[in-house]
Amino acid sequence: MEKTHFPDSSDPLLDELEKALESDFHKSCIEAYLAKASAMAIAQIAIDVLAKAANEAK
Amino acid sequence: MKLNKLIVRGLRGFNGEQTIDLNGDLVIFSGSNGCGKTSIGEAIEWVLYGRTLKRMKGDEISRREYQGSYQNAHFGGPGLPFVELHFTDSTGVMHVIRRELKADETSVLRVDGNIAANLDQFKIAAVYDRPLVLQHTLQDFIFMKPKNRYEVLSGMLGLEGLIEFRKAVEESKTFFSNNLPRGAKEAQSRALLLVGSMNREPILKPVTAAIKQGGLTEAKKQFVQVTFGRLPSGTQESGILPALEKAKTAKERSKLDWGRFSLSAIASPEDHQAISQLRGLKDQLSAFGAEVEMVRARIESAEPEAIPPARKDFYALGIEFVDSTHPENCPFCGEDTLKPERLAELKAQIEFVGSSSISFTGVIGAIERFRSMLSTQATTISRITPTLPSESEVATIGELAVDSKKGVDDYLEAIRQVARAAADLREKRQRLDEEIRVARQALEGEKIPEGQFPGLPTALQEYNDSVRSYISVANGYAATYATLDPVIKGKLASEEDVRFLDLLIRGVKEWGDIRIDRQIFETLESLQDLIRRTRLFIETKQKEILQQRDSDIKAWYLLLSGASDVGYEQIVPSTDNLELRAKTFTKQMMAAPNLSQCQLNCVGLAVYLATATRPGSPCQFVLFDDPIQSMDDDHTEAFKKTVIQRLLTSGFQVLLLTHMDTFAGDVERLYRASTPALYKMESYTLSGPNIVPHGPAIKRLLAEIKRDKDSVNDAFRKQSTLGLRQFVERFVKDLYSSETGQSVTKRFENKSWPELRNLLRQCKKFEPADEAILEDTHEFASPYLHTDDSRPQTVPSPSHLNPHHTAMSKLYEKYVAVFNLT
Repeated sequence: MEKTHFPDSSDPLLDELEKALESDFHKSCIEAYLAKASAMAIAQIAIDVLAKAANEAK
Repeated sequence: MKLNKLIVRGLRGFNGEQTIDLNGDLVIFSGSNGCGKTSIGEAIEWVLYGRTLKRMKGDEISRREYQGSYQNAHFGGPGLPFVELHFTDSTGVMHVIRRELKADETSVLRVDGNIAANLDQFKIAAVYDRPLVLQHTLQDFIFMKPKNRYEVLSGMLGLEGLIEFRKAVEESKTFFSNNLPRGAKEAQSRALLLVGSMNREPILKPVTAAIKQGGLTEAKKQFVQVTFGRLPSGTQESGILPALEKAKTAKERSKLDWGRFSLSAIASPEDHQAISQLRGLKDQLSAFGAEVEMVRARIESAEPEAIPPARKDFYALGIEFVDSTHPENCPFCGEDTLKPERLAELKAQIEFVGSSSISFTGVIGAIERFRSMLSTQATTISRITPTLPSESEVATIGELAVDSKKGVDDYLEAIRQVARAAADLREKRQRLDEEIRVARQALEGEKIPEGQFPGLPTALQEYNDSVRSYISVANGYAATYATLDPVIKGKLASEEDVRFLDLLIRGVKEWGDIRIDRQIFETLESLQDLIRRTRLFIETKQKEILQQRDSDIKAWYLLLSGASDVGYEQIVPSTDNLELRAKTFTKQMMAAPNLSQCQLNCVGLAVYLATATRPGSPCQFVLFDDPIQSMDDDHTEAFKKTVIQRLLTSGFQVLLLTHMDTFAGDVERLYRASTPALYKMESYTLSGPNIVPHGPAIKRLLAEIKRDKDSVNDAFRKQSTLGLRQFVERFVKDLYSSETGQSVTKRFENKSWPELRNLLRQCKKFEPADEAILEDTHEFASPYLHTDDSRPQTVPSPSHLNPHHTAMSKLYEKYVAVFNLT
């Protein structure tokens, strides 16, 4: 997956969006995106969530 | 941010290093197509953003085609291609941004000599939020798909970060579903099969319904409830799996195919077909005996044979030995006594030639009929032969009917009896078959043994007895089977029972897979929800921003186009696209298909102007690259007079690139008070654009007249004459513009003196006495405007031209202060 954007880590609108979201998962998606500047960072959050659930399922 | 200087090397149209002075509130570059104007715009765009919209769009079309297009085709070093931009920030501090192009088309950015990751400190980041109105972007915005237009405009509105985030979530969702960990993917496949199997069981439908609704706790509760229903009472939840395994094993043992061993009782031996066939067999055997007796009587009444059997055999042997090469020699004595007549005689003697012919056909037919009937009867008996259980099946029957010991014992005894009776029947049948074979063979040799086949009736009788016994035993078997049948059937398990238990076991073992599958689904749903929420957020923000920005766009549009019943009306945004609406009187319609090219040009300009001048914009400059390409005269005038003026008075630096010299000259003249810098790009060389500082048009004209007036070449002197005509016109128009602030449109080009004089008389600073001087030169030069060869004009000599040049030079010097040219 390519880096497709040039996120502005100080984008006030993204901050505002993050505050408007209630889900911790959603908040962590924004944080990961801003930190690593890629869609892969968000996908990794999703994969981590799944791995945690898989461990619990065992 | 206002621009001071641009230094470019090796990028786009620039090969050798060039420094371009950008100082001033209005900087104009004028030059024909292909001279490198756009390269200036692209160099500024690239140094600020690291890429150009033109290239981004090109890459979408064909990466291969656009690969390497940032670097100048001739550039060979030294060093890397670079662009350096010197500018003053909003606080008055000067900075230098330098970007070097690497071989992989990424770049190294420096700010004031230090490596920098971005230009965040100057708030330059968004791709679309830029003060650059370039040729391709202007048209692209108008004709791009509504979805793309939405993204571009949203970017212009400062929403690009949100849009890019939404795209990233969309990408991550696709990536997540395509790149699940192997274990999760396998669990997902198993869960799919398991839930599918559960859904086919009516009793488990509430379980699958709860799973689909996401209520895994409720689903598990329902599942456990169903499972307990199949297990002995008292089973604990912790012991649910072993209990299920045990139940399944028990059920599998009871998967006996009991019906396979069934046999209907034979109600009455007398009624049974097999019995009637036994009686038929006896009749057939009697018929056979009668036939045999008849043949025997015939044989006995036949004449005795003339030749003893021993001789007959001797003759037969001799004939067999007859040598075909010596057919007349006796095989025993070698004499040639075996004449054909004698041979025929011997052959006749060894053949049975009775006095009357005795036929065995009838008796052979009788035994065949007997044999056929026996075969039919055997088939009938086989139909009343039960399939007997194997040893393991006998064991299972014993387990199943453990509560009915006598019934089982009787049944097992009946099995043994059936087996014994069947063996006896086979033996008797084999003996009967043997007797029939012997009789048949004898009859085929036309011999009837003594006693007329005495073994045959005996064998038939024994066979009959065996059949009767077998039927009796089979009846006994049927009776014991019938007694045991209800007991066994009560214990039997169906395939469905076993399969269902197996499904419950899978459910317990693979419940974790269902949880993982559900988690995958919920994660994807959550990502989708994030996309939806981001979209809604963008939409809300967009509406908020557009409320203000759309009025800005409309204001810029009205500046360009003026109020009209037909024209651009508004932007209508939605989640994923954006429509430009026009109006025709009171009716709204789509803008792109219904507005003229000129109106669309104005819409595009208005959008970019509203963006470039939005409050909080980091750039205090706007660069235009051929902004009026599709505009008519009136709109071009509006652009020159109102748009540039609005920008300059609002404190924006204006950089203008145009291929129209007249347009460049007009702008330069209109805003002379702002000390514009005008550059002429006259030609394009291997090292790049040739950018030459250029004075006002009127001053250039005077210089050109002076250069050509004394030439010996007629063509140059004619050009000098025409220059005088243009000077007069330019003088009048410039004076008029300088005094009134109004520009003069093309309508006044090549016009007669009275029209120019009319303009002149509106200039208060012009002395009426000078009017005659201008008129004289105008009248002198005007005939040379004609290109009609039938009316050739004698080209003026230098002595004719010199007085006019002198007069015009004096007038220019006299009024130069009025033109603001000092």
